[in-house]
Amino acid sequence: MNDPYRHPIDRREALLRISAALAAGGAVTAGGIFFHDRRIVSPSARPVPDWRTDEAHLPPGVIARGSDPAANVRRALDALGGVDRFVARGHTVLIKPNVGWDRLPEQAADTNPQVVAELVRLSLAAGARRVIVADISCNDPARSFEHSGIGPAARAAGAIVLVGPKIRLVRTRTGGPAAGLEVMEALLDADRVINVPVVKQHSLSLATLGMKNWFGVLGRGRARLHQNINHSIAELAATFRPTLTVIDATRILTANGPQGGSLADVREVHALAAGIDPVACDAWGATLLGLEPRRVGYIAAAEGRGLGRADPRLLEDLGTA
Amino acid sequence: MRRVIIIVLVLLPLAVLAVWIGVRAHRLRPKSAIPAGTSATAPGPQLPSPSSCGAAGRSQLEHYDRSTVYDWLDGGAAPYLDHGFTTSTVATYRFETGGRTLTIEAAAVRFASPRGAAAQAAAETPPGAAPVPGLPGAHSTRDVLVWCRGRDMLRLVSFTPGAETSGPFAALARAWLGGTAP
Repeated sequence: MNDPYRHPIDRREALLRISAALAAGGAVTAGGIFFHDRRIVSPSARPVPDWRTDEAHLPPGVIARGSDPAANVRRALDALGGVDRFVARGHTVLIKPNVGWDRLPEQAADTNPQVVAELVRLSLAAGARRVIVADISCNDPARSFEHSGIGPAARAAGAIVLVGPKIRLVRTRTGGPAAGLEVMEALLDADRVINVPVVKQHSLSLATLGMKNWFGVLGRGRARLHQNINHSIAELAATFRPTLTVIDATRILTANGPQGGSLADVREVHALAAGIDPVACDAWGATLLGLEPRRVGYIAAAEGRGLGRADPRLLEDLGTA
Repeated sequence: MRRVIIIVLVLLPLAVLAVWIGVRAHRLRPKSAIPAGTSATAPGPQLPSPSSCGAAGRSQLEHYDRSTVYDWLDGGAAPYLDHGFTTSTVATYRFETGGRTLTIEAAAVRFASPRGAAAQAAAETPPGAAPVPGLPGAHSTRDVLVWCRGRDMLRLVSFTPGAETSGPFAALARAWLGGTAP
């Protein structure tokens, strides 16, 4: 039956209407693709692994003293049973120093390069398939890695050094203050993680040590964590559980941290602590700055959350080499 | 023919919309995954051109304001903000002196008031720093110079500890005082 209100369409008009529909659909799809931000809504946000090993029988940490930073690393790790207790053949090890600043080793704003290089060598000697050294610097990344000496030293020791644009960031399932912030992908891919901060005074949190060092694995927007810094640091410490913490106190920055610059603010301590209790290690670092560990807000908060014990006496002092 | 015109008229706004969406998305999308830590176009206190202070070169200027100061100084931003920090300009200069390369980081920092600038300068002046001849109010050691002028503060940091820096420090500070445009 013919519908008087419906005109038959010819082939040409049908093609035109289909083209119009396809164009409209294409425009909407293109808009969706442009506006869609995978970093915010991706359902494939990755979990953060726990890199700790089952080492309940070990002491929480040890302290090694001496004028040779590399020797201090070897003595400390030997006392903990050797690196191969933590790193196995085929592992990918990520070493996370503090390379936040475009500063020289003498200025003590970044981790000592010899400490980092020795950790690279020991990890490779233990059979690690590859060792990655990475940090997201506050200052220009290339200059920070170069001036701090960490880039050249780590490369010479055999590490892959990730600087600036080489660092890929991904969404993770982190909660709390860091929710929504991206994390360096190499960290999540690692089998073992060694956190290697330097001891520094910090204007806001009093001290920057191991737990604060996790700021350096976070991408754009991390500055907002400063608003409630003690809570944020404790939250990061609960999220990122390293295999080892190595607190570098070869030189420490006692004022105008964390950036520093003046040698008058630097004190040579020639020591380091290595351990599996990040809170105890930070507690020791705090004492070097003349701080009572439990008066440092995030150390007390981390202890309160059961992440470790804020007691530097738990660390065995190996004495001076 | 009339239908073709109608369809084109319908498609044209869609095409314009698609282009607009593309342009907006391009502008909104972050350029880099790494925190740049700098608002590159923000105005701020001036740093001198390399030629005006005898430097062989200078890195790209970085500008910071109250919303990005934590990217520059991390926790060190807290006292700056307490003292009324508003903006800063930072760069690294390269001097060639006596066959040796001397690198100096310069930061020109503006505060809301001279009082805030003076307080921050006092806090950053190293113990034992000596007055700099010809630069009233400036103090320096071999590795750091701090100078407060009105509501602006100049901070110079040497990357060659122990090296003789008095010449380049003074040249940079004088050029800064002269307000040489970059």
